[in-house]
Amino acid sequence: MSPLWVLAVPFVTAPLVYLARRASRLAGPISAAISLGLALSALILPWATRAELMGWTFVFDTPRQAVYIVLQLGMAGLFLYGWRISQGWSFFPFALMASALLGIALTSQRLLLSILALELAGLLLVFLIQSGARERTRGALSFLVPWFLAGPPLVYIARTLDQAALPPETAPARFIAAGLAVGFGLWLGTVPFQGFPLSALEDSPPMVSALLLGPYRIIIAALLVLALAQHPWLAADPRIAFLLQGAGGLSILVGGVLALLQSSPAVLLAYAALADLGVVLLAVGTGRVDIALYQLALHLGAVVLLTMSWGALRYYGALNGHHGVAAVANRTPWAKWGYLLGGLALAGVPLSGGFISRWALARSLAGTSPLWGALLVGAAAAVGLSYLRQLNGGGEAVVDPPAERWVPGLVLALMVLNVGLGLVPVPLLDLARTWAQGLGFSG
Amino acid sequence: PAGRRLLWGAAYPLGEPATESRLGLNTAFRAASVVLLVVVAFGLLYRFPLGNLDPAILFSSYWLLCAGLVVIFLARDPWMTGVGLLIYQTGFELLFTPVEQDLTVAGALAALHILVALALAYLITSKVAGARMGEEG
Repeated sequence: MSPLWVLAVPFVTAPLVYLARRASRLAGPISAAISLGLALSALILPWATRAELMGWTFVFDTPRQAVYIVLQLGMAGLFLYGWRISQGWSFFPFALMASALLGIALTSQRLLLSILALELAGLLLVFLIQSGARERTRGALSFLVPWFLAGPPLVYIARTLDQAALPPETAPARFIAAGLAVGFGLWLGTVPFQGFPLSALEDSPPMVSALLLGPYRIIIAALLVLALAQHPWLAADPRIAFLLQGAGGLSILVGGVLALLQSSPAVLLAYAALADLGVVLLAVGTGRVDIALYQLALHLGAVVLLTMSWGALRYYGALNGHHGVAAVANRTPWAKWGYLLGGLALAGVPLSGGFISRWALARSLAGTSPLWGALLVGAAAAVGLSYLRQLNGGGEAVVDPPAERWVPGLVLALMVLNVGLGLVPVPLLDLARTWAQGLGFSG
Repeated sequence: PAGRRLLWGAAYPLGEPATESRLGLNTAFRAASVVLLVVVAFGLLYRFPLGNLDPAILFSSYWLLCAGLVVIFLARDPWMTGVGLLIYQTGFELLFTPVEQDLTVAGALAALHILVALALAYLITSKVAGARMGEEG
């Protein structure tokens, strides 16, 4: 049976979930069950195949299967959380629709369709960022404008790439390299476009932040890797490697330095995620695609844990009349430790999974310059310190948090997952190596 | 503009006289922008003659893309930003539709156009509703 139906299910079910959007007790479990079912189906069904629909080819291979499973598991976590702590009425149907579009972007053979699907998915995120808030539109607008501006150039470049394999030294090839760098840079929010997602993260509910920094970024980064795999001349072009290494290195540097200066959890999250994303780009630019894929999976786990814990602290803080993280942290130790562990995992400190990838990358780059190692260690230390500092001080919660089992359970499960990936990294590293080899990369 | 006749302008942004320029720019600046846009569009036409497109279509497309960018960068609110984004998208569609004639792509571009308009309408409505609530106390 063709796995195409896996892509169709969220499209078909999203309107039904929309009808039940005001009853989160119904919409939440349904959405989570759909995502979990899709992850399970992707795991069980044979994915070594291709399928045609309306003249477009969709590729179902092992690396895409792995990314799709990770994507749907992440979505299921977000839905389960949104079921208990509201993320806005539109969260379930729009996020479900977005997951369908991300699935199309991931599996489409032609980059053109992937870019169009991603652009549409980004527009859906505007509704989620706003999520019914009145008057304040800065966050949604500051996300919408760069996202939308990056779309047309990427669409044109994707079409050009799909049409022919260009020799690297032609003018269109240079145009493509520059356009891809700017377009993907805008979508990923790397240096020098790191300021664009800040307002969106400050204004959006925590699970929407998780969606933007987790599933969206993972699919964009995966598309970048897939584009390099499909067009070997791009991967071999030194300009692309230079751009990726430059954007990665600068993102690590800027993310680490600016994280140290932040007191707002949302902005700190943005810079910590930027530094972590820099590691992914640096790994791709260095040719260590296995490390990049491994790091992407870790990135999702850390971002989801961090945003869930931060969201719970904010929610309980708001319930009790406080707004600071530290004010309520002492009454919800599971959220406090989840927040801290998520932050340290995102930083990539020793004993976390992120440290393994940073270590491997520093060793790969040691021959080029020892500064890379110093940069990776320095940024990890800066982000880690920033998170430790966040939980200092603060007052006492006036009222105890409501009795709640689902959210603490989710946070604890993610804590176990993040710690487990740090202590036993080999199975995931081996898988990432297999995926990279499946895409034609030696790493 | 039609939007103002439909009272969008009267409702948003509150407190701003409807007759005053929303960009707050004077006529000389606007005229200089138009001249500059023509020069840039001609420059792009000369520098990037994409594919076998008719120069008139290509010039119009570059002109709209640049005009959209200028409006977006000068805008301070969802209304003018939306106008800029739609001009920008129209410029791109003018350029891309003759190049790629696949129906799925045309459908996706149309969906993009509708979705961005909906998103902007949603943001404008949110802002207006918030401002009205603030005014009512």
